[in-house]
Amino acid sequence: MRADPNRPVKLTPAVFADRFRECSSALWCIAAAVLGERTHAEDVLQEAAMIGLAKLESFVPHTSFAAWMGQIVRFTALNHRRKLQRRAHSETVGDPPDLDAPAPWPSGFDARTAAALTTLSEIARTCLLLRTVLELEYAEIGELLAIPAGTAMSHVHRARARMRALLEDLEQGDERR
Amino acid sequence: MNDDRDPIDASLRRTFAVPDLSALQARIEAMAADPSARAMTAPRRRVAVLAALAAAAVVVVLARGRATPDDGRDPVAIAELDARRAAGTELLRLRRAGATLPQPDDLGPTASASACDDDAGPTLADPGDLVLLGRCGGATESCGGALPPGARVLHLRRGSDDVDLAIYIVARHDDPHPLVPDDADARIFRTELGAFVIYEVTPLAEPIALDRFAL
Repeated sequence: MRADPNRPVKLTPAVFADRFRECSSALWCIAAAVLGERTHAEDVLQEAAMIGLAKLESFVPHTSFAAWMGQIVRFTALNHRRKLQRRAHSETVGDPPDLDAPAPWPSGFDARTAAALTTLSEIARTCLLLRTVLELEYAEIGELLAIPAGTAMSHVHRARARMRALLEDLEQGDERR
Repeated sequence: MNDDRDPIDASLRRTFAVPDLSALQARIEAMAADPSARAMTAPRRRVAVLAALAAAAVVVVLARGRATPDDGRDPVAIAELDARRAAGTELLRLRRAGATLPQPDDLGPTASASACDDDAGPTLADPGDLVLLGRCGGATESCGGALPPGARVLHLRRGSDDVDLAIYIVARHDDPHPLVPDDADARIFRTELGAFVIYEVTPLAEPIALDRFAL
């Protein structure tokens, strides 16, 4: 049987760099999805790569590099998001936001789509972006995120339905005004 | 398969189009090829373990009441000296590895050079022709190596001649008093600002950034 290069026996720094190059688009999508925006995704990806390089020994031979690295990217992005939220919170000290007030929706369609995306769960956002932007198969998404392919499919369908409903509601609201 | 006519799919593809990652990939390849750059990410835990091992070694030596290999010199003083040398070596390495430091979002001569992202600290108030190219450390990140958690390192470049500097900022109570050997490729200058100590690691004979910082 031919060895699968994506399931290396030993992860050396050179192998890491090769594998990272191959799946960097998918990893970027995971970072952007967890963050809910694209601005910091590349920074997160670099930080995650540095962590991965420092933890090569934690890679289990013959397993998926993309899944291992995808996990590191997710954790790094979650930490980054928490940090940004803490900073945003500390900047509003003394002027507490009205948590009951609905967040204002942007007017452009792309901006609204991006805002609607943030209303989804982190895993749903990730599945949706990997499917829509990179056109990955559900099996590939499942492997990247360590979930069954059927679960990935279900996340994508429900995410699309939720976003469609949300954006249609907003459009109808605009028409009534 | 995605539906090109679906406006939501089309919008997501526009908004989240994957950027050109070749520069990032090249940086990762460079880091993979350079063990010293990878060491920069050493987790604090490793530093803590090394510190604990060093402390344990000192305790063992003291408990045995034996002379150290350095002919009876105080083992605590020896350990302190080693720590100061390690910190100096780390600062020299960070200056050389400056290009691999995480880059700030707002590159440029007017970039915020806050000591760290999430707390108060010295800021490069008068950058002149110094450009901030990278930074690491702060309350929530580590520069790794022999530097204490909470320390910050800025990578600055003088625009007129591309001289690279490392600025090291640390709370006064954590000051590692770094030592560098006489034949090192850079010198270290020190100043104090409020509760902070600022070091400039430079190949030049004089510091050019220290007096540009303010609280």
